[in-house]
Amino acid sequence: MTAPVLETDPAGYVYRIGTEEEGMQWIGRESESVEQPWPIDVEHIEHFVEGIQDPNPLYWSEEFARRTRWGGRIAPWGVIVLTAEHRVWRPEWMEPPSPTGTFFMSVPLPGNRLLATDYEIECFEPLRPGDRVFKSEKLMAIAPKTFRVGVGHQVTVKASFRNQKGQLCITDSRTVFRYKFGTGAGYRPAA
Amino acid sequence: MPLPPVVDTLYEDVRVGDRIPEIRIGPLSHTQFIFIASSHHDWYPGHHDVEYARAQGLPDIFMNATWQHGMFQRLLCAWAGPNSIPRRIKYRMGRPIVRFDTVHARGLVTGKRVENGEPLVDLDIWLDKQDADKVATGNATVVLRARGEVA
Repeated sequence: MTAPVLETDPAGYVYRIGTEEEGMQWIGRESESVEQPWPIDVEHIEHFVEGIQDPNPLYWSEEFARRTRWGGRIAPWGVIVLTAEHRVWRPEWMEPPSPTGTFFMSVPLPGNRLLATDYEIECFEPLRPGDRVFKSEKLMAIAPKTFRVGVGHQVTVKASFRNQKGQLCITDSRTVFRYKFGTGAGYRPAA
Repeated sequence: MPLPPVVDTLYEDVRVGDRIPEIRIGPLSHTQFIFIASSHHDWYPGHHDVEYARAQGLPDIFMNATWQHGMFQRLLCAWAGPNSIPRRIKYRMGRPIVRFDTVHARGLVTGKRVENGEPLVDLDIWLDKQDADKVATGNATVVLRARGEVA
């Protein structure tokens, strides 16, 4: 068995490199459910809504939220989506995360860069401060594509997020263009 | 400061063809891009490193998909009220939203129905910016509170 060919981009994302044929064989694969590194917390909620300048008191005031159907503060539905995908640094004594964390990077394809193109979120149950979140993924589709930034494939992955009670809270279908750096008409090499 | 009242848009009061109140953000500074990258733990350099973004053929650093989702959710929930549920938000990103852009999020009611006892409203949603229309386009379904329904 040969070791996978891996490439790391400047952001630290690690890609498994392979052919389109190899990638297509992965369609339908599902990952195990993995607990996200942090539970939902108030600081994360406020940080998220500050970034979109959302004044909705449901996210800012426990007193207000108690007067709604939710009975307390909830997280905006998009808050959890990216929380586990990128770690800038961890101490050496900690177990390192998987180098190719999601199917966007772990599926073997020629591309070594990512650019998101399509997004769909469905919301079923809210996540609340203190909730632990468990994520699993399914690789839905791969389609060859060329955009201005490069030549590559659109990769669609559906992620499911459940709380500690096993309730399905959010599904997130993302399509990301995975392309080979330097192959696009718009690419301008650095001087 | 007193808390704002709990006000919901009721299902019965919505008509197909209604434009919902738009929201606006910007001009978006470099600091805001860094802040948003940190809030999403999204350190892909195209979202904060200008040289990297330009080397990819993009005009500047660009907003990520999660921020655009957040803008759509803010648009929908500001209109529908705190007891609403943004059941589904789907969109496609076209031209990038970059530094110093001012963005408007807008929506139009396209349908309403009751499904499994839930009062649902369908909308077209999109983002415009100061020099381009519909840089992101999509549709959404929101669960509204019905008249007489206890929150």
